[in-house]
This record gives sequence, structure tokens and C-alpha cells, in this order.
Amino acid sequence: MRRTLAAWTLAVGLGSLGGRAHAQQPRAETAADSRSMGFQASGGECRETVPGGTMLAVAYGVTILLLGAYVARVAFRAHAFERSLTRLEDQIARRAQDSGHADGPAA
Amino acid sequence: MRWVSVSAAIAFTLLAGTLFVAWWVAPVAQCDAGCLSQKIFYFHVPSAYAMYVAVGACVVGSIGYLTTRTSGWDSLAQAGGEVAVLFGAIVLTTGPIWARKAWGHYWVWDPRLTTMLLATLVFVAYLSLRSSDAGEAERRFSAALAILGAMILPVIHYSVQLWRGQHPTVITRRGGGLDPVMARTLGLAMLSFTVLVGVLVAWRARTAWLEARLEAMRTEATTLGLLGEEGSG
Repeated sequence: MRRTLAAWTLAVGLGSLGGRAHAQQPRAETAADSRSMGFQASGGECRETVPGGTMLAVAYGVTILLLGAYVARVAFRAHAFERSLTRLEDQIARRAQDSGHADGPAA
Repeated sequence: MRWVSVSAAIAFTLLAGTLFVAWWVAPVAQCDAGCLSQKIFYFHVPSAYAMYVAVGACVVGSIGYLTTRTSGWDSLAQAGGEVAVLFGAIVLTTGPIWARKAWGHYWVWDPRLTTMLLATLVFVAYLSLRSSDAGEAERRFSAALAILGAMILPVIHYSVQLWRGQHPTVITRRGGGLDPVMARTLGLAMLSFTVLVGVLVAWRARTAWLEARLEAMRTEATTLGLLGEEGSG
């Protein structure tokens, strides 16, 4: 009886240890987890084979160039449209005035 | 035009601040995240977000145009489409530069990269549809194309979670996280690009509206016989 009790206690004890060990196992990594990548600050020196600084400068340069070119294009178009609109309004006003003068004496 | 100058100055200051913080304050990341070239992230991610905002403006303008048929909504749609292509081009240029460093290749047919390319091409098609003398039919068709094309945005966003791919998922719940200084830098970049996209869409919409008004005035003046040959050019 005592042996059975000791064996039972041992089995339960080992089982609970196993359960705890199983609980401490890392969760199975999913496909999404394995693809994710945290961006953490690095402490040591970076050994680079591809020059990261140059690539960074190129990327920022391209961004600023594209934005600048677009802003310049919109500014140019906006200025051109405003100028055309003013010219057209003047032209219409002049024509209307001329036709008003022409109609005046005849009326 | 005063509001354009003021908001452009704010956008420029914020952008310059972002550039400074990203370059000198934000730490360098670990090598498997691209080391120094990881800092491309501070322009790349906000550009993708700005593209989403611009596409949203294009969709709102398109729905407004299909409902009311007024040039104001059409101008908003056109502005949104154009700015979406601009930011799409920035995303598709800066991403591969980072990828060359982190992955060893400029381009892989990853789901997120492919869907992003597809979305940009949809809006390039939208702009080319409008580039020639767009009549009523072209404007309606392009509005429908913009609404349908915008449906690809959720696919881009969830593509990393739905299908296998290499694109990092850093700032999602299942992502690997972000260093606090990096997170703050990204926050500043997002703010800068929010202001920038707002200014660009509003300014471009106003220009498109001016163009539409000019065309309408020309047509009306010619019809009334107020313009001769010199006025039609």
C-alpha cells in the first residue's frame, strides 16, 4: 500500500513537472510570426557589405526629388491657369465692351 | 493662395524635421533589418499611408462626381489619383532600395510588393484615361475605375497576414515590435506625411478646378461669340 502510494505520488509529481515544462515551451511559430521582424536598436558595430549609408541617401534623394518635381509641376500649371484665366476674363470684358459700343449708336 | 503657402511651409518644416530626426536621432537597426538603410522605413511606410489617403480622396471625389456631376468633385478625384501615383512611386522606389540591403534582391514577387505594384498601375491607368481630352464618358469611366481600383487597398494591407511573403510586419499586433525612439520617429514621419498629402491633394484639386473653370469659360465665350481665334488657344 505504501509502495503504491509512493509510486502514485512520484507519478503525479513527475507529471506536474512535465506539464510545467510543457507550458514553458515556446508557442509554435506561425508563418506570420516567422515573417515578422522587429526593428531593434543595435548595440555593436554594423558590418556592412552593401553600403547602407549610400542606399539611404539615394532613397531620401529620390523621395525629395519626386516630391520636388511634382510640387514644381503643380506650381507651374497653377500659375499658367491663373494667368490664362485672367487673360480670358480681360479678353471677354474687352469684347463685351466693344460690342456694347458697337450696339450703342445703332440702338 | 495664402493658405497654400502657409500649409506648404508647415509641411516643409515637418518634413525637414523628420529628415533630421530620422538621420541623426533615430538609432541604427540590427543588421538583418538593414542596418543604416533601415532608416528608409521612415519615408517608406508614411508614403504608403499617404497613398492610401490619396486613394481615399480619389474615391470620395469619384463618388461625389458620379452623384452630382460637378467639376469640384471631379477635381478632387483627379488630385487624389495623381497624388496616389506619386506616393506609390515613392513606395516602389524606396522599398526595393531597402530590400537590396536586407534581402539581397531589389525585387521579389512577394504578395505585398505585387499588390502594391498592381494598385499603383491601376491609378496610372486612371491618370492615362484622364490625360487626353477627357469628356463626360471618360470622367465617369475613370471614376468607376478609381472606386474599383481602391478595393485592392485592403488586399495590400492584409496580404502579409493572408499569404506567405517576405515583407516585414513590424507595426501590426503580430509584428516584431519597434524600438521606442524608432516608434516616435515614425510617429513624426506619419504626421509630416499626413500634412503633406493633405496640402498636395488640396492644392492639386484647386489647380484642376481652375483648369475646368478655364475650359468652361472658353467654351461659353466661344459659343456666345465673345472670342475670336486668338482666344481659343
